[in-house]
Order: sequence, then structure tokens, then C-alpha cells
Amino acid sequence: MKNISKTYAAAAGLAGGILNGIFGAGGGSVTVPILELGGTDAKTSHAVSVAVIFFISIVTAFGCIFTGHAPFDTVKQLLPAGIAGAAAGAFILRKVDNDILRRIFGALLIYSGGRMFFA
Amino acid sequence: MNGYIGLAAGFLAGMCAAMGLGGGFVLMIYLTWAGISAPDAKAANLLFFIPVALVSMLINHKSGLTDRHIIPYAAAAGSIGAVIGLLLSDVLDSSLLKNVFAALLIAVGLRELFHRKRSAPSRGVERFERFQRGGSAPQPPQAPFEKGGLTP
Repeated sequence: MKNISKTYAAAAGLAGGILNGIFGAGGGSVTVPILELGGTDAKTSHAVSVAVIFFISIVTAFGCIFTGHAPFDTVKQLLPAGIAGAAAGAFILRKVDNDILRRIFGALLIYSGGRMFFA
Repeated sequence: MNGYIGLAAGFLAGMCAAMGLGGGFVLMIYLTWAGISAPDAKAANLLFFIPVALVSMLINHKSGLTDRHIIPYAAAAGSIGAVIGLLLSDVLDSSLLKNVFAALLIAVGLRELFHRKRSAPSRGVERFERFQRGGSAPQPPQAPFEKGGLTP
């Protein structure tokens, strides 16, 4: 069982990394379902996904800065609110029910998929 | 006015990001609305996510939600994937790619939205638990017996 979930974890990371590298977003939308397929529960999948995308984002961010896209000013404006939101989100994740989390996630995926189609 | 919307977008994006719900899409909507070009928005999203993820990782770890057995594997594979993705983004036609990815998102989204509740134990587990409590022995499903045939 442990080995299977490690294989799924590696697959999740690879898929998430490729998407993150191409679009700069949306890594989590594949890592979470793949981790869940590997038998990890929803909350842990989401937490692991954040950690994985953290490492992936460092790599991709370097790539972007290297190609001359470094919008530090925009990020600086957004970051204080973002950090506060991160703390709030992490506390909600601790409390939320696995089933509800999956349904919210599903609804958001459908929304962003639809938006992508028409954008 | 713009400042308040930025604050709200930052907070909401941080919150979604910390929950692993994809803070990227909130931030992307805001950045596009604010008139920032796509490559810059991509970079801003990534830079924004790094400190936000750090904070949420610390809290998630305290909540006992991070699985340290699988993170190294996923992170290593992910870093390789990120390099592949970066190289691909220069080569591939992104409009076809976007549509394929959008279809995948909708399919996975439908599956997650209408999934069956996991919390109910599966039938096999239920039967086994009844057996453990001293009930009737678990019966294998009745397979139609065929002469000379192998039972599955």
C-alpha cells in the first residue's frame, strides 16, 4: 500500500509540475485527484498538494524570472492579504469535512475548466 | 477602490491556495482584470504562492495533515515535471492544450462533485465486521456453479 501511494505521489508530482510549468497554475487540480486515486484521504491530499506545488513553484518561478518576467511590485501589494488568507485557509482545512472538501474542489474545477474553455 | 479589490483578491487567493483549492485561479482572474499580461500574471502567481504555501505548510504540518512519506517523491518528480513544462510551454500550441486541459478539469470536477461518500464502509468491510461481532460467517457471493468450470 505504501509503495503504491509513493508511485501515485511521484505521478502526481510529475503531472502537477508539467502543468505548473506550462500554465503557471493548475498544478493542484491534477495532484489532488491523483493522490486520492492512490488512497490518500482528501484533506491530506490537499495539504500534500500545497507542499508539492511549493517546491514546483520555486522551480517554475526561477524559470519565469530567467525569461524576464519578474512582477515583484504586483506581488508585494498582494502578499500581506495573501498571508492572512493562507492562515485562514489552513485553519479551515483543519476543520473541514473530507466529503465537503471534495465537493467544493469539484465545483471549483468545473468552474475553472469552463472558464478556460471560453477564455 | 482598486486597492480594496486587490486586498480581497489577495486574501481569497491565499485562502484557496492554503487549502489546496487552487489559489491560482482567483489570482489569475484578478490579475487579468487588473490588465496584467499573461506571462507576467503567470510569474506573479508563482511568486505569490511561495510565501503563502510556506505559511500554510507550517500550519498544515501542525494539524498533522502532511504525509512526510510521500512528499519527497512528489516534490522530486514535480521539479522534473516543472522543467519539462517550462520547456514545453515554448514549443506547444497553447490553445489546443488549454482546451484539452479544460476538458480534463471538467471531467475530474464532475467526478469529485458527485463522488459517493467514502465515510460509509464498503460492503465487504461491513460483512467482515458483522462476522467479527459473532454474527453469521461471511458468505462469498453465490457464483453460478458450472460443471467443470473454474470458480473465480
